[in-house]
Amino acid sequence: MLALIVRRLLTFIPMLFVLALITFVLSYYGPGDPVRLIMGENWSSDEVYQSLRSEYGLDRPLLVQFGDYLLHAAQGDFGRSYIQRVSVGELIGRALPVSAQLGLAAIILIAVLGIGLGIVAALWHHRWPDAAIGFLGVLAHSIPAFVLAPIVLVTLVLKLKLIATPTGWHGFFSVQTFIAASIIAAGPLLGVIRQTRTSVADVLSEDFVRTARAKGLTEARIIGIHVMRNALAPVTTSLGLTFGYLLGGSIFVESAFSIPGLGQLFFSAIRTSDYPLLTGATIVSAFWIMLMSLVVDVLYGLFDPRVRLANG
Amino acid sequence: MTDIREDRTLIELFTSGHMNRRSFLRHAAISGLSAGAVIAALGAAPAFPAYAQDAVPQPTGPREDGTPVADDQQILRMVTPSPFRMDPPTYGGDLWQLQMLVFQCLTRVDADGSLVPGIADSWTPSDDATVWTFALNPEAKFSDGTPITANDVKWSFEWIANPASQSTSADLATGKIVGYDKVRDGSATTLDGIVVKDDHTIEFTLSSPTSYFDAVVGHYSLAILKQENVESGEEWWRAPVTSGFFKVTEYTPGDQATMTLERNEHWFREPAKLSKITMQLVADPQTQLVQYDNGEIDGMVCQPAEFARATKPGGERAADLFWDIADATWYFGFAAFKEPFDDIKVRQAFASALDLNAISIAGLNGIYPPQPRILRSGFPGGGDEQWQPTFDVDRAKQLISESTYGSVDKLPKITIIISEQGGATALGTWGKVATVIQQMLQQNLGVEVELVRQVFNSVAEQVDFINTTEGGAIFRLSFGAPIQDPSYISPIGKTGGSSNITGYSNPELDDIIDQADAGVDPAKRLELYAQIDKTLSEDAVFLAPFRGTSTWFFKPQVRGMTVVLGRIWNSIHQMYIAE
Repeated sequence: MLALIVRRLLTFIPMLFVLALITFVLSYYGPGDPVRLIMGENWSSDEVYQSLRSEYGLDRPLLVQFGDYLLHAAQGDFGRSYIQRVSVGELIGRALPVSAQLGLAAIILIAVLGIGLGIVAALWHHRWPDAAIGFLGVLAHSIPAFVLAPIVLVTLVLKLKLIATPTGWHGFFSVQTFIAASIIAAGPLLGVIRQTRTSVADVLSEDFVRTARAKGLTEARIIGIHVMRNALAPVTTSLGLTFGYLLGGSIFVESAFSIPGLGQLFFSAIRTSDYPLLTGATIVSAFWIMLMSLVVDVLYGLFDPRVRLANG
Repeated sequence: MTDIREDRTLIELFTSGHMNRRSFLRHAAISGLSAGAVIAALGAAPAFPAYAQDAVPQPTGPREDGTPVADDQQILRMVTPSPFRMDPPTYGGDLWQLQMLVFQCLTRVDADGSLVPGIADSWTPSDDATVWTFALNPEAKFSDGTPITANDVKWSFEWIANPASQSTSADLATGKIVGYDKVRDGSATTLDGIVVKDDHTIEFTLSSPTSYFDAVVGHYSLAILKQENVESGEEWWRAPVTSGFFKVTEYTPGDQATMTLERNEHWFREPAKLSKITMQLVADPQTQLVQYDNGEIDGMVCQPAEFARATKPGGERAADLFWDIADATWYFGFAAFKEPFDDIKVRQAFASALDLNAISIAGLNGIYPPQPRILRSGFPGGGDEQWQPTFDVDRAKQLISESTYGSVDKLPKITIIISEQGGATALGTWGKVATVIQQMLQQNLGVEVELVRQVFNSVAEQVDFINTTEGGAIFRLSFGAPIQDPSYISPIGKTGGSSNITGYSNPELDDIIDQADAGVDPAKRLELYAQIDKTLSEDAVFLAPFRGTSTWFFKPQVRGMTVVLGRIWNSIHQMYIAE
């Protein structure tokens, strides 16, 4: 298992290199000139423009810029944001824990609700609870976060007057985090419900479940021990990967709730062609997704001995 | 059966744009108008209703004075849509320009638009306006209580000229001071043209006569900074030593930036009426609105959609709307250096074929009103005259027949190049405006115009694109007044001028521009700039020019603000909270 983890970690290096290169090349050749954006549309003289390009190091060839970036990135220095003038490391360092906690809150909601409702749907297969859960899941999945977030905001703040506008980060255990996490969870919830429902329904029809029932075990014990252990492996994979993506931040929810996470960083970096911030945030997000993928594989092995054996 | 006179009234109402299509059809059916007459009227009706001049929203004007609340309650809570920090030389583009809240220049534009003392008490130019002497206020102090001397002023100017400051407007601010080129190319770090006479007197020698240098030194990037503070590190602006109305007492940068400003007790002139200002960066305008409506903030920028709602009769948040004209022009302009727009008659014909009121309302939610001339009333040299060609389809057709082309059939292919980047309105707005222009030109002149959307990395790239576009080209850009002087229109009209993207060339006008820019008689200069404005507007250098605006929602208790040089922040010292 340890060898597997080390092998996987080593593959991260070339993957991150390629990712950084792609991001850098796209930024370099893509639309939007950061110096023009810094200067604004009421441009000054061409001499000032060229001077600024030189000061920002943008007049150097692409490979020189990229090499310089990699050299510094390897030492943990992702450069300085063009617009905010703050170290990218500091910005990501502040944003990542926020997005991670928000993602964790969302994944807990997805896991608890998704698995719980999935089991209920499987137990009442093709009956009204199954249909109701399916309908609600589809409904939650169908409303995009950028529509749901302002609706929730207006309803809770202006209509019901339950809370003040939830801007900023108020910690993991806060009403604001619960609301934002619920909106993030609404989309992926359906997938987990369906996956749990299918897995549990499949396992329920297995011979060993019939044997367990014949032995007189309680239904709770059968579901809790025998069914869940076998049904949870694919759900864990799905949850792990979803968590990886959630760690990258939710642009819409973080923007609507003004949460200072990675999603907001991405949004402002894209909007202002802030290449160092964009590249840094992309690399860190990608690293997290890869890491979560690895964690999921390890957990998968723990749930399913066959996988552990196959991986040696 | 209705009589003929009623039929005619109905048709006239509809074809003149005073009745919409649905109402016309309903009334036609009720009154029994013949099918032939209905079809004829539908064919003759404009695609865009004609808007009366009073349909275009008018600026709200200043708010009535009220009784100020107690000093400890003089707190203004603001939310910003863009990042902010206090590093004056690097301001531009997307940053929210707040530096006038905390820094001060030698001079300042006051709330009424006049140039008033800042750090300097008085200033005197030489007869030829090449040597300027400024007398500083002996009581001037930084926010840490240390005195502001002529050496601080000299250092601040040299820092802005130095490429290391990454100043975005070095040329505009210090380009005319002798020695500027040497500082820019790195062969010197000090400007030869600045001499400190004593602690409170400084002299500037300029490379050419500049009778408006007192306005130049009021440019926001020329804030007087404390050398020790700036040289304390790359991120000195996290804890800036300020020189103006307020000091920074809290600042958290990033995507959730917050800043708290408190009245600077060392400010040596009349203190600000507000005791405290809090700023918070909230990028989503919808969230800002929720905060505003919930009473959590006192002011925010009003976006176009909300502006349209607020300016309707009985509109939403109408009482909170505060807006005024900014000294800026957003325009669709002609590539006047090549066919067919090198023909003045063609330009005038196209400009006359557009109903700018309708475009402003239909395409821009009324947030940018049509521009009758470049320099607005109240700006030096400005006025209210209608010099831009007005909407007159018959005249437009007449002008085409008088042009070298004779008829629209002989015009070459014409393209509108839409560049959304840099727009102050929501993404897609300029594309929408271009579509309206396209339809109006087709309807009123019978000209087919192609639309091309393009993102440009630089103005040079946009110019190259215009050059290589087959046939006639129309493009979108903007310009504005960085200082309180009409000289900002010179590079728009001068042959080869840095902002003359239209390629317009008029040797007679070039002479007038040279005279105006080098003139030392203030009254004569303003007269010349008005003449330049008239020529550029009447020659239809712009197809569709609109005035920039500054639009805000402020709670009714917020008073005293005015828009000066496009910003309310120039009136910050007069703003207060009323009971």
